[in-house]
Amino acid sequence: MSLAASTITDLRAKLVEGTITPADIINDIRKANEAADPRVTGYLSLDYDAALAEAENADLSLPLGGIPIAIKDNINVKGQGCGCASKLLTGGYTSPYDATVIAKLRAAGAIPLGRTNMDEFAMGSTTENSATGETRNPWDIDRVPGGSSGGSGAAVGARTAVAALGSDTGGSIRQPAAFNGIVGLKPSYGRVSRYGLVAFASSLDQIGPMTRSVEDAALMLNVMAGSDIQDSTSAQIDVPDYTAGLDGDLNGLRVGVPKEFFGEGLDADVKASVDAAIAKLEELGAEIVEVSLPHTEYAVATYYIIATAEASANLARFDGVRYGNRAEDPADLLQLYTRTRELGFGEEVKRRILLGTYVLSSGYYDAYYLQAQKARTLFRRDFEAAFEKVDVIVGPTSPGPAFEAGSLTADPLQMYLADIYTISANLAGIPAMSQPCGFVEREAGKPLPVGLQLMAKPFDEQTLLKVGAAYERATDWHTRAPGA
Amino acid sequence: MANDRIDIHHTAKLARLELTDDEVQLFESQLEKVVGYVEKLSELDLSDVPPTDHAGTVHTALREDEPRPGMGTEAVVQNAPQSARDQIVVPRVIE
Repeated sequence: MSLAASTITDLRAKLVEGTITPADIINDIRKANEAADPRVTGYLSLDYDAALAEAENADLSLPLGGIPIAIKDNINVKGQGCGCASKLLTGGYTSPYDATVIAKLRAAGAIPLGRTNMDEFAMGSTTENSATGETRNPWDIDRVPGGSSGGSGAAVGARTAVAALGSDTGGSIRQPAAFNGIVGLKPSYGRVSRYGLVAFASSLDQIGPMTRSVEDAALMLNVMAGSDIQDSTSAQIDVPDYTAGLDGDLNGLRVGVPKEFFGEGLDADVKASVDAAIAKLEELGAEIVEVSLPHTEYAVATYYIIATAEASANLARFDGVRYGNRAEDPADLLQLYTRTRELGFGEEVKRRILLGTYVLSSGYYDAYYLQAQKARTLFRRDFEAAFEKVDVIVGPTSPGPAFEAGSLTADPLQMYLADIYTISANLAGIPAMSQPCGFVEREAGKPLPVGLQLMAKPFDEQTLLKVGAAYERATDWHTRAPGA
Repeated sequence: MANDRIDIHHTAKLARLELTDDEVQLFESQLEKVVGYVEKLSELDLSDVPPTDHAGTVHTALREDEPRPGMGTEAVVQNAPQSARDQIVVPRVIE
C-alpha cells in the first residue's frame, strides 16, 4: 500500500520505527496527485515545498508528528490563502494567523498540506457551488463528492490525502464522508474551537476530522478538542483520551433506530446496507431499540431559516473594504458594497443571504426566525428523550448515494431536502459521525459508497467512536478504495 | 406565518446586494418556493416552547484587562484591496 493510501495510525508506526520520513509521505502524496484525475484529487492548491520545509523539523515524538493533513479552504492557515472557494476572497486574502485547530495540529506535529475544494462559503451539498475549482467523486467521475467539504472528502477517498479537516453546519462533513467511502466526524457543538473558521452559521458550525479509519478520527480529535479563550462558544469541559476504549465490545450497549429515518424518500439499496449494518451491531452484542425523533420532518425548514439568518449576518463582513477582491471604480461607498458582493458571491450564496435577510427583516422575524428557534428546542427535546433509552442512535447519513453532477443544481429545495438526516444533529449540537457501511450500484462496475450515521449524547464522542471502531473491526468497507 | 410575496428588491437592498434582472427573476421564484416550504413550521404549536439560540452554553470569555500587542498595522492592511500610508482607502464618504 502506498503511503498516501495509508492510515495515520500505520504511518505513525512507520515514522516511529524510522522506516519512513515525513518527506516520504509528502512526496508520495505528490505522486498520487500527479497520477490521479485532477477532478478527483480534491485540492484547490498545494505547496509541497512549504510542507517539506516543515517536515524537516517534524518532531516524531508528538502524537501526529510528521503527518500531513489537508485543510478545507475555509480554515485559516497563517501565510496561506483562505478563499472559501469564492471569487470574493480567492487571491485577495492571505491568513495573518492560524486557526486554533491549526495551531493545535501543528503543536501535535501535524503538517498542513493543501487547501481543499468546497461549496462557496460552505453553502451546498455537492461542491458544485465552488467558484474556484471542480471536484468530482473518485468512485464515479460523473457524480459529485458531496459537500460542502467535498474536496476534503474526495482527497481522503481518492487516496490523495492521508486525512483532512472539514466543517459541518448541516452535514457538510458527514455527507461527503458517506459519498466518498470514508469516516467523517462532526464533534459536539463547542467541542472544537471555531476560532479561525470562516463563519457560515455560528450556532451550527463545527470543524471535524475526515479520515480513513475511526481510530484516525479519534487521534485527530484528541489533538483538536478543548476549550479556547478565543471562542466563547467552546465548551469548558475536560477532553478525554478518545483512543482509549476503542477496542471495547458492544455488549449491553443500546442502539436506537429512529423510525423517521427509514420512511419515504430513503433509497431501497441504501436502506438495505444500513439495515445490514444495524444487524451487524446486534451480532456484536448491542441491543437494538426503536426510537422516535418525531420532529424530523421539520428539520430542513428549521435549519434553512436559522442557518441562512446567521449566514446573512456573518457574510455582512465581506464588503470589499478590509479584505478580499473589491469591485473596481465604485461611485460611492454603498456601490462599493453592493457591487463587490454582486461580483464576488456566487448564486447559492446570494440565494441564502437573501433568504436569511428576508426571515430577519422587519415584520418577519417573529413569523420565521423566532418560530425556527422554538422548533429547535423540540429537536433538542427529541434527542434528550431518545437518549434516555439508548446510548447511540444509528441510521443512514444520506437518503441516497452520490448524486449525478448537475442533477440538483436547478432545484435548490430538492438539494436542501437531501440533508434531512444530518441536520438534526447540528440543531441539537450533538456529536455525529458517518462511516462506510456498504456499496450500491447504479451502473455496472461503479460501486457507490453508503454511509452509516451514528449520533450520541452531547460531548459523548467516546461512545460514538467505540461503536464505530467495533463496527469497523467486524467489516472491511473502510478498506476499499476507488478503482481497486 | 407570513404569506406575503417576497419583495426581492427591498431584500437585496437590505443585504447590500446588487442583482441583475435575471437574478431577480430567478431568486424570486426560487425563494418563494423555499419560503413556501418553511411555512411547514406553522403546523407546530410552539406557543409555550422557549426558543433555543445555541445548542451549547455560551460563556463570557474574559481575560485580564492588560495592554498587549495586536495584529500590527502591516498585517491588518496587507489584505486591504486598496491602502495608502498604512490605512485602508475607501471611496470618499463626506460630500
